[in-house]
Amino acid sequence: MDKYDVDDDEIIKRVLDGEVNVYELLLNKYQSIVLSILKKRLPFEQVEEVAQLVFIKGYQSLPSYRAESPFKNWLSSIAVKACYDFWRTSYKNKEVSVYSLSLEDKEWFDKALLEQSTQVLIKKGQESEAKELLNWALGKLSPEDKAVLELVYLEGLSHKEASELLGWSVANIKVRSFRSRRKLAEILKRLTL
Amino acid sequence: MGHINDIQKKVRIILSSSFAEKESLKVGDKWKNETMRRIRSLPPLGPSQRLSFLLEQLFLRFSTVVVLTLIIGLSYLEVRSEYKIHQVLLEEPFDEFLDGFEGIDI
Repeated sequence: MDKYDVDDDEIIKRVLDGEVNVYELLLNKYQSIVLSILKKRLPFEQVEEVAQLVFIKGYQSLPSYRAESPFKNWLSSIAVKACYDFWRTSYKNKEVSVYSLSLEDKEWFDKALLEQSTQVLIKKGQESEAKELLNWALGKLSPEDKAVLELVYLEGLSHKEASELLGWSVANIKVRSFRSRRKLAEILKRLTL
Repeated sequence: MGHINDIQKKVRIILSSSFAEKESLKVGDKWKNETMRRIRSLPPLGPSQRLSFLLEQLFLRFSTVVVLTLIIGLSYLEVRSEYKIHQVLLEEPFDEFLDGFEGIDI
C-alpha cells in the first residue's frame, strides 16, 4: 500500500494523539496543491516561507478540523488566506506595486490583442511579457480585489467556491468580483490608450 | 479552437494563461525539512492543547454575547440606582430631609 493511501482522518487522529512526525505524510501529500496556490499568487522568493507558515498553521489548527469537507479543501483555504494576508500586510506597509511596464511590454500587449486564435492567445499568455503585464495590473488592485479576481476571473471558480476558500459571504464575493473586473478593465484601458 | 474577436475575452485568456503558467516554477525541498523542524519544536497537540483551543473557540463565539450582556447589565444597574435616588427623594422630599437637621449648626 502506498504511504499516501493512508486515510487523512486516520493520519489526523494520530497527529492529534501526539505522533507529530506522521504530519509529514500530510505535508508530502498536499505540498503540490499548496505550492500551486502560492506560486500563482506570491512573489517567487516568498513561496517557501509562506508554504512553511501554511503547514504550521494547518498543524496548529488541526483540533478545529471537522471532516465535513475534504482536508484538501480545508488546507487550500488556509493557503489562499495566507496569500491574502501576505498582500494585506504588504499593502499596509506600502510595499506593493514594484512592478513597472516597459514600452516594449505595452507594444507586446497591443500586438497580442490582434491575435484571434484561442490557442495562440494561450501561448502568448505564457510569454514573459504577459507575466509582467499580469503582475503590474494585479499590483494596482487592493488585496481584497486581487484575491477575488484571482479566484473567480483568472481561475474560473464559482462565487460559492471562492466564498468557501476565502471565508467571505457569497454576496461579498459577487460585489468584489464585479468591482475588481471593472477596475482591471480601467487599468488595461488606460494602458492601450 | 475557435477564433474570437471580443477584446475582453482575449484579455482574459492571456491573463488566465499567464496566471496558470506561474505554477510551472520549480521550488526546492529544503522548506519541507524546515517546516517539520519548526512543527516538532511546537508543543504537542495533546488533550490539554485541544481543550484550551476549544475554550478559546467557545470564548470567541460567545464574546459578543458576553459583552452585550455586560453593557445591558451595567446600564440597567445605572438606571436602577438613579431610580432609587429618585424614589428616596419622592418618598422623603428634600425639605423634610433638611428638617431632620433642624437645630443643628452646619
